[in-house]
Amino acid sequence: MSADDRVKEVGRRDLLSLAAWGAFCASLATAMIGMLRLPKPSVLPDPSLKGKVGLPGAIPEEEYRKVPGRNVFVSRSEQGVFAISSVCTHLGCVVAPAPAGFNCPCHGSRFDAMGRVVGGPAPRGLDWLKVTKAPDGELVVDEGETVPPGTYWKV
Amino acid sequence: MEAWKDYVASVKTLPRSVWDSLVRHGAPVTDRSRMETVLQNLFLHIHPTRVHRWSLRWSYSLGLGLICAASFLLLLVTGVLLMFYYKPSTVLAYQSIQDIHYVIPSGRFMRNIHRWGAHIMVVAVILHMARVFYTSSYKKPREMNWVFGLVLLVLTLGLSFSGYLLPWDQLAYWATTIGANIAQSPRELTDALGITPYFDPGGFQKTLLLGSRSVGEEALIRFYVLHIMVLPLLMVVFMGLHFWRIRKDGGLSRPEDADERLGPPGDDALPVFTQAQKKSYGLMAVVRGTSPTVGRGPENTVPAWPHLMTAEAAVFMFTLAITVALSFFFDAPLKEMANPLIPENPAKAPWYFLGLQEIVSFSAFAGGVLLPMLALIGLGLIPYLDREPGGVGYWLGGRDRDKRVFLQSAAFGLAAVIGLEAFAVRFGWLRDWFPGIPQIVITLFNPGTLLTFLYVAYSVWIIRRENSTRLGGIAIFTCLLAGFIILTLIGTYFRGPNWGFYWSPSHWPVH
Amino acid sequence: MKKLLLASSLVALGFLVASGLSENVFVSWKGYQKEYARLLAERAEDPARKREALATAVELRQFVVPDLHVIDRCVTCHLGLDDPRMAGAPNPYAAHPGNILKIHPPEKFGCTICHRGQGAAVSFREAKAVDVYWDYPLLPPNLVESSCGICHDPMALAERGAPALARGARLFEEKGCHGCHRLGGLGGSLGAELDSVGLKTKHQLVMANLPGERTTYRWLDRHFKDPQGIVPGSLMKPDYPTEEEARALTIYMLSLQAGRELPDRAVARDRHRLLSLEHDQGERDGRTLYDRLCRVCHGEGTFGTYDKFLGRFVPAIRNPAFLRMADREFLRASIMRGRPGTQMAGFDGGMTDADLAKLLEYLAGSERIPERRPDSYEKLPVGDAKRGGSIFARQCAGCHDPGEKGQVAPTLSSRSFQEKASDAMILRTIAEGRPGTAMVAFVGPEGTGFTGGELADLLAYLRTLSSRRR
Repeated sequence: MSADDRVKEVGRRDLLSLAAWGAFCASLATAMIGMLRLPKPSVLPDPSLKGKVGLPGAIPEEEYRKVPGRNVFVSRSEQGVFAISSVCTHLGCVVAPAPAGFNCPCHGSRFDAMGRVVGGPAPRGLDWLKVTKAPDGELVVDEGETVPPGTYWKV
Repeated sequence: MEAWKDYVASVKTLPRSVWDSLVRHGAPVTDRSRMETVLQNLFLHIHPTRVHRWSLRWSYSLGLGLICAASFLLLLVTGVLLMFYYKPSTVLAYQSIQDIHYVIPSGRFMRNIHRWGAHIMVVAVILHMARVFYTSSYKKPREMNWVFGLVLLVLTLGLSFSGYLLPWDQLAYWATTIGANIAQSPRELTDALGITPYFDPGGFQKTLLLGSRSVGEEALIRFYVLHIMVLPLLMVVFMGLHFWRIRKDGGLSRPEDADERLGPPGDDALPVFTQAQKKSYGLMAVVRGTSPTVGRGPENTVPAWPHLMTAEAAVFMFTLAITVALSFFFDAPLKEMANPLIPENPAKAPWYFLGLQEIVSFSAFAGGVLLPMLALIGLGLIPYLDREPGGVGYWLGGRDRDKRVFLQSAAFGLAAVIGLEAFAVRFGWLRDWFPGIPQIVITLFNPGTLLTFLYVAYSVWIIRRENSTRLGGIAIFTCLLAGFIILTLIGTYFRGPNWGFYWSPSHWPVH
Repeated sequence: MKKLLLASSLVALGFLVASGLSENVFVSWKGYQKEYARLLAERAEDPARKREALATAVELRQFVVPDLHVIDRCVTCHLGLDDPRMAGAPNPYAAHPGNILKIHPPEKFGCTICHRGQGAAVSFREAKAVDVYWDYPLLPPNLVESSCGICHDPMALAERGAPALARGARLFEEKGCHGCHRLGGLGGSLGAELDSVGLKTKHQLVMANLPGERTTYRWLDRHFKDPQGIVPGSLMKPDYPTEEEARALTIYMLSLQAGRELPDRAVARDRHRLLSLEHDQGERDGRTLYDRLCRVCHGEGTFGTYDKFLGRFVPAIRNPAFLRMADREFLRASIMRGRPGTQMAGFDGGMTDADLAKLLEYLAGSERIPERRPDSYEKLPVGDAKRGGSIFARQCAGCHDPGEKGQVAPTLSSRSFQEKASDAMILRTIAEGRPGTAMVAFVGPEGTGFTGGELADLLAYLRTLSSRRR
């Protein structure tokens, strides 16, 4: 301890200082919140994930129809209409239909006709997507909403 | 086992030792440890450890330099945020600004801050220059820092102007078109000399700026790169130089007798010449001549932490408060999308260029190149032409003589500019009297050049009459300021379609 | 300093919080979405649906159509637009009327392609965009039909969808607008070309005399009713259309958007043909061409009349007397290059050669017009301009006073007259007159009237007129 350090502790804790620096930090924090909100847009510029896929009667039975321009396969079985996402659950490549189901070209994941994993690194089966009926009678598939596999829209 | 115990102890004290390695000298709770922190911390060491009490008097500096720096900081932060969404393409730029405006969280507010902050910065830079001038702070040893300041002024205007195009609206498009053609205006001179086919600096400048014949995609990318990369980098470099020179030139300017005027420091100030063992005298070896602080009574300094830093924070918050208040009440303008087929009428440059546009309405070369260059060179030379000692550190040297000359110059400057403009508005100019007159005559003889001549002549007369270069400097600077303000006001408020004179926009002919 | 720091910080904090609130809490669209959820719950059939309705997320919605460069956020507030249950609901919740959304799903076309307005905006004032900076403000519902014409042939929609648009297109033909305005490659050059008039912004029109809201559609409507009231000095003949006719014409004008970039998928097949500027307007005979191009000024064309609006005599171009004097070369030149010094502007580029031939046949009627009539005035000696001047003052200045503008007869000193009128043509006109106009023949059948020398003097004088103009 040298002689200089005997200088009294700075009286920083006086009320005015505290209030001033407190308000300073508070407004910077508020500004920071505003700034941090900015990078996450409140609406994404992509086209809507919901899209009409046609009237129920137009969906093919026991085979898959690729919805043009979207990563969706639709089909109809006895239980009803269902939609499967064509996005691989491993790392997001787009799977291709194969004789036994679907194959992913990127890392060799394989799925059966109902989308269950049968090989490769995929952690789970292909997503089943929610099917609803629009007020005008056409079916709507929402790529943003998955449903448990085996969920059908009853014809 | 010793090693294991040490290892365990190290793990236990891990947070503490990491912290200590980060902050090497204890908590900064005493003046001494704070000064040490300021000295050793990279981000704080831009500050001196101690600052003279004179420098902290707000009535002296008005905090204008700090306002410039604070608004630059604001612009930097909001600018980076806007870059997340802005797309520099003629097709998408306008749409991305609309998105920022309408749907991006806090986007509209950030854009407003960016816009109004830019205006505040320009105002603050000009006022800061005036403060430095009227307190004689450009005098030795600060001549070069005055020049750096001028560079910063140019960079500020360049940044502001390059940002003007980016929204790709009508305002932006036509202001930039005018700006680019001003860059081309040296052709006025080369055309008159008939050497344009061989030597065409005007065309070169325009091509350099736009990358094509008219404002388009190429120009947008160039302005974008200038605005977000080149100019900000230069700005940071020159700000660094500016700050560095402030420190090396002995801090803010202050009068010789500042200590006597301030009286003895309070009890809470730490004595400077201490028994500290850590004091290094090694640097004395490189000191040449007189150190700026020798003989100036270091006792009248106070620690930068907290005094200077409180001041800085206060000025920063003051700037922020003004900017957010403006941004809350007024939205940044966004006109219709740029349309090369429909010119804006009147197409006005940003307000700080409207004084020049007023002269440009007579001659593009005189108003866009000649006079601004002359003004910049003249301003840059002031510290080298006025080497009179004394008067540093007071507004107008604290002398009645200076104040008298200032008022006279202001009156003369205002009278000259208002008189000339009123004459030109009322009676027209050469082209209206002699329609066939060659442009070169107007380039050399127009209200702008005439005004400059009058101002220079007046200041020369003041130098001879008052036998003082400083007073001559006050004369020319005050006149220039008066001319700038009046021309800018006329360009902003009294010019309408086809650059006609109108007392109010409500008299504009409707189109 | 501390006080300044405290005060500024508090002010800044206040405005930051206030702007945060005004952006996130007090926004109109959030209120609309909540109200819509309530309306939906009211109409729900069972409790599950009701819960679902009330739980709908409050979020921005939009239609993104990349190939049309459309991002329309109208649906953020117009939430019920494709829900039949909302048929009777108040705006902005109402369902879209008609079945148009079935044929043109908004996911593929957006909203603004038909309705205009600023689709990016999320408040009604900014979306309507009448008093904000946006080139194409929202169209009033009774003009929206115009947008059908961007992608469809108007005539194909006469029975379904866009009757007013089709009516406008028909009126445009019937009223002879082509006479002055070129559209789709047909028409005169006195008025503006109209191929992309629907893309004009308010800055391209003279708005000074339009009271009230300054929009292009209001301008068009008022301009049809009172051209000179909107554009002083306009040469457009007032037609006094009814309210409905003006609306139909406005709709047709708004639909004319040649040059607008549209993806192929959006443009109906019948429209592809019409979008090219050189398109064939279908079979048109001489009579149709006459009705579309000539009738508006020349009427039936059998009697010359004094037209008050044009301020001069309009020649009877189908009058046998006129035709006996004319030859094909002269008629062709008059039609294609116009008549110097009159309002007859050239149709060059405004009709095809085939059109011209058909029109000439129609004009001729039963007359036989030779390709070129022999000319007897070509070999006159050079006359004396001074003598010609005195003859002119005595005989011609009454109608052709060269010092006056807007006289009854053509302006002989105009540059276009001087350049286009050949010596032979001038001489023949003086000698034989211009049947169907006030210009009588100055050389009688038995050698009365002007002599050859006097004609030469007059010609010499007339040729000096061009140099008198500055």
